[in-house]
Amino acid sequence: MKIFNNICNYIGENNFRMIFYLDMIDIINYDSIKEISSRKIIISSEKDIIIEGKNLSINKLLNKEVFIIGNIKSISLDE
Amino acid sequence: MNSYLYVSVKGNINRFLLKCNKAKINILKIEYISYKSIIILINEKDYNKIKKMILFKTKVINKKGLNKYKDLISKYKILIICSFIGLIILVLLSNIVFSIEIISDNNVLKSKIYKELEYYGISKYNFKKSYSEINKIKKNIKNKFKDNIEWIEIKEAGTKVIVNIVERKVNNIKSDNEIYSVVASKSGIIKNIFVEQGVSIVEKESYVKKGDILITSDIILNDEIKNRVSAKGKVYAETWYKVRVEYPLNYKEIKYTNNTKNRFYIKFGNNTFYLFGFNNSDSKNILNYKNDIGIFEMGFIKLREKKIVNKKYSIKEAKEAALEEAIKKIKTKLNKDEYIIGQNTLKFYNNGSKIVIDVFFSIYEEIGERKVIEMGEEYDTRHIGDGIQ
Repeated sequence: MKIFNNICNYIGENNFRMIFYLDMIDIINYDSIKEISSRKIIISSEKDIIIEGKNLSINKLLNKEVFIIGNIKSISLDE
Repeated sequence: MNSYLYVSVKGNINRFLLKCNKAKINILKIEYISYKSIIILINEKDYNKIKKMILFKTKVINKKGLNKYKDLISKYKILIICSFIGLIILVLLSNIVFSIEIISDNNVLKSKIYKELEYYGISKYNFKKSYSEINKIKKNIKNKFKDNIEWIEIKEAGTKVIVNIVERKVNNIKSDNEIYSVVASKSGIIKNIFVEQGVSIVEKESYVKKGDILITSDIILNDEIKNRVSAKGKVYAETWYKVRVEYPLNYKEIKYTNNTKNRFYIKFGNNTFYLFGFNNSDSKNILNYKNDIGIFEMGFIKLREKKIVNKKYSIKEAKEAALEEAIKKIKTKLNKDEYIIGQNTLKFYNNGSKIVIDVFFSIYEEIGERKVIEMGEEYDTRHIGDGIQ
């Protein structure tokens, strides 16, 4: 059963994931976006993810994926 | 295939993106023009949701995917339809036979093959046959005319079908057991006799008439026929001819000037149409560039202007030219070993626009002709021989 769940997760990608590149963040399986500004973007999942920086902008906005680019200074979690 | 739209959005962009997120609209690509203007790539089905957001100015600026092709097709539909019809016509025309050429010297066989090809559907304005069908037809024709045809090849050159035939040569040479004598084909004075077989019964400088036996097939000894062989040999004699030549005093000479012109021409079948050129058809083709497309041909042709000059011979010149013409005429009848012994002008008169000249020729020519003498004629042959001796 565990193997089946692993395969389902691998194919379906239901788990929350956040991939951080230099000046880029790719967030997969988020719930919603709470706030968007050039200095702060708050993404809601189990916890709120606060991304702060300069010239932040969204490059791709899908139902389950958001791609943020800009001069990222901090990423913090807020319960 | 999905359809996508590039949409330009103006207004509070951050608010717009939040609204899109709430409305579950997938934005595949966001390109920032300014902080109040973006271009987004969305699914076509999401566009209605965006249109309802009245706070933002939206405009479709481009399409991607199936929709783009639909738009292109509707925009260029006349061109596409015309091209398609043109293509169909081209394919149809290039698959139709417009002419058939049968290469053979035998006209009877040619017409037979033509009919046979017609029977198998290879005829003018019919569709071309496939490679396998042509092979089948070739095989059938070869089988039908196996006594007449050695080899047949049917090939297509554009809209033309070329049929090459190699005729079967049947060996018809039969063994010749006939007994020949050599007789005079015309009257004359014997000049030379070369006997290969048989016995010569005429002497040099003797006069012979047409039909006289010159070399007999009978070998006679002591007034008895000892043997009969087929006579063979050559007998040369002096013969006589009268040749009449009429020669015009006026003649036309064609002179080409240095004026040349290039003309465009179109040819349909055997009709040629020229655009611009020399008047009165004073032209001559010297260079021709062709584009062969079946029965249609067009290109440029270089024309050279020509002028016709009327000239007149003097009586002396005309007489000399007429005599030359008469000699030429007589020489066409002579073989290599035959020649003109002498000539004499018999009659000459001027007829206004032309001169008439009668020339007498004495010719050294072969008069021996092989002829079969029936067995019953043995006596006659011997009798003639006896007479000369």
